[in-house]
Amino acid sequence: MKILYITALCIVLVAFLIIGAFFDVPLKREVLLQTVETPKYIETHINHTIPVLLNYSEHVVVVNGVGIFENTTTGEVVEIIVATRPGTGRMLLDVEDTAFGVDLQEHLVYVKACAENYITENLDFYDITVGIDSSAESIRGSSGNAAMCIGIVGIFRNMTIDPGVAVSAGVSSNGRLLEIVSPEAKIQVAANQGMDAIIIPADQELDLGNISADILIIQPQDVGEALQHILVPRAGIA
Amino acid sequence: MRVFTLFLIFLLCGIVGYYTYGSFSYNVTYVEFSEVTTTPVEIQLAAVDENGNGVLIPLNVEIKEGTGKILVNIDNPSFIVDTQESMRLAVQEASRITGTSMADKDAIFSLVTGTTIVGGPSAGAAMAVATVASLQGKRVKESVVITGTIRPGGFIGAVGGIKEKAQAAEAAGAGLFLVPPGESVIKEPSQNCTEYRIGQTWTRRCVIVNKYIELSQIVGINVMEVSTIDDAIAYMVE
Repeated sequence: MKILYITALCIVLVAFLIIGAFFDVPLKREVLLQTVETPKYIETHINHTIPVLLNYSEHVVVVNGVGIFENTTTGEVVEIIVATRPGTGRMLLDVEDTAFGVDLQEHLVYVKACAENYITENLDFYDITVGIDSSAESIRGSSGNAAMCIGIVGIFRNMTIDPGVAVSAGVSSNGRLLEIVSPEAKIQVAANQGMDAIIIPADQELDLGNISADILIIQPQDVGEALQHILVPRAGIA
Repeated sequence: MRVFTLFLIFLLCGIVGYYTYGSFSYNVTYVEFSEVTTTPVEIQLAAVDENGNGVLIPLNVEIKEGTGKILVNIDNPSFIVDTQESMRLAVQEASRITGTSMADKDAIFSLVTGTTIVGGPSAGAAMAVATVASLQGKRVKESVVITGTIRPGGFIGAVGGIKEKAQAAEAAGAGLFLVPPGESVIKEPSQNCTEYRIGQTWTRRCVIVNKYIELSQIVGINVMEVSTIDDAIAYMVE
């Protein structure tokens, strides 16, 4: 019986070792030190120790969105720039070049909640920065929120964004893609500016009769489906 | 008994396996790094709420290593477009006044308030003063409150609701209220009416008389006019 018990013990232990190899549980810790040059104007040095997955090399991604100029059917493909850095869980909006409407700001809370459905990291340890490179002086609406969510996921999965794909959709906190205004105009603008594909919500009703565009229209239900069409591995990474 | 023994062994192996298999699985590295940043500078913004009452809203300004972004923390309130434009100008003027390039820094503006939307350009001067203080590693005096727009060249422009804002500053215990040029005196119209009779007709004649009153006499707080950010800094930054 003793042999039986010992054998069972060994089998269970080995089983857990094998099972554990498949799980992302951060147990082994090493401390690396990074030093940063100190500009003279700075007074305070704050030491952080945070759980950071170092398997990603870039902290900035660019996702293409589509904007329509107010009261027109013309527009442009805009670059939505998403960046992360160690912080305290803040959502920061870059207003250096472009101002943002209140409606856009109020919906940004859903972007962070959306991303948390598709990554394992705790975003309380990071500040998320969002900016939009556009010719417009101010931007309104939530049709860029899906792109922002995708951008955050791309960073933490160490993947980049297909530059030939544009995204125009809102998001809910659980990642579902939400309908937008002027979808036909946005599809036309994306096609005119050389996009290969555009991601539009599955629930969006489209009238494609007046669109003369050679562009692939992808209509996923949620961000999870959309990721399959837009995330690509980084160069040099299998 | 045997089943119970096997269960105990199973449980023991589970505990041992959980804490040991990590060494063979995914490695997550804790990064310790020294982040250069300034201590956030807090300044009180004088504003008027939707009920017409003066309020003071605390604003934090923080400067971090970055790439020249002007970031607003949208975790609490949203900022109307003109407030965002004031932020840009405030950072631009602070950079000019201190002679510090913002190309390798990010400025982060955070409000902690129960208000959901913050609008208007009247906080521009305060934002510029706080940004200067942050760049210089100094602090803003709690006993001084300022209101005024920020204009190119560091000039402070006119705002509305001066009396209400002064009352809010006094209620908060401030000893000095800085205002734009010409706004330390407020105009209070009053109406003087006389009645007289001509024949069978009574006539009422009213004349509007403007009274010019020193603001400091109304609200019981010292009021000083300042025309530039440099003037304001002399009173506010220490």
